[in-house]
Amino acid sequence: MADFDHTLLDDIIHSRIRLAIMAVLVAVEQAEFTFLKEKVNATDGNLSVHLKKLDEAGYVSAHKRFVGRKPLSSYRLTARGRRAFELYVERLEELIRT
Amino acid sequence: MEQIDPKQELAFIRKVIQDSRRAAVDNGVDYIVWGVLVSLGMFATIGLELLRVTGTAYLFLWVAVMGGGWVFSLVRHLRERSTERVRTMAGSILNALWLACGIVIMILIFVGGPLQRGSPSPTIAAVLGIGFLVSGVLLDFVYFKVSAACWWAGSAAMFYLESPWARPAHPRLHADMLLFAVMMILCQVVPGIILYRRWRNEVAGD
Repeated sequence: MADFDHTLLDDIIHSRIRLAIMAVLVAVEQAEFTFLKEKVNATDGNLSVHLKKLDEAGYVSAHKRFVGRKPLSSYRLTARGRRAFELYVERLEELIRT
Repeated sequence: MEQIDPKQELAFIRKVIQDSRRAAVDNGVDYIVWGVLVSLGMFATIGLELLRVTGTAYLFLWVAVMGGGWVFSLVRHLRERSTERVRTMAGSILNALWLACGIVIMILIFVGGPLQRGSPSPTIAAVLGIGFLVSGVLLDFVYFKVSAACWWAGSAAMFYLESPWARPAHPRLHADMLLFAVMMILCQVVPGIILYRRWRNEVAGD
């Protein structure tokens, strides 16, 4: 375990659920809400709150559409979100090296 | 100050990325359907040749075979797109790759073949080799990589079988077409079935 200044890491990403959401979206081009829910293992409400936070930070973008009468929300990582995630991983790797 | 284990964090990130990628593998249905359709078309063409059928029968046969395949793929693609839960870059590249290969093959069958008065199967086999190698790499599927090598070896053999140096087994039997039809089953339908089984196992394991 390493002690470090938490301000070195991006606060938006530095939460287990948001980190997992970002990691899923890095791996795929676009993912639906139910897919994220399964992968992240979160409740609907909890996932919505975290997705909203990532959306507000400009890290993910949401796309809503209807299949029949059913509304479906898909999410993808924005260029800003991808850069932030890469930087976050770089910081973690730096911590391991030091 | 906060305590975290960066190694654990990175391991967590890697695991999530790996799990998400696994969820988006190709299910192999297109390979099976196209493989069966084209091999049936090839066997039918050989049959028509042996029965000394001439005229537009071949054109109608291949319009039906290729048209059927395109309609199937289009309907499946549109249906999956409206219900897909996840889309990957690898999936988009695969779609573009096979669309490009399909267009080249259509040109070879309906334009190159009739104009050049030769069999397009050796060139089509070479194009399939490209499609299978790239798909094999993107899907991390060794059977497709082996298929690619077989399609290229088959292409060389088909060029030879169509050349003036090959001795025909039968004056009306196009040996290159027979080889192509058999290869369609062994190098496309069979790996397609293996890919389908892998997809089913992965979906069940999710």
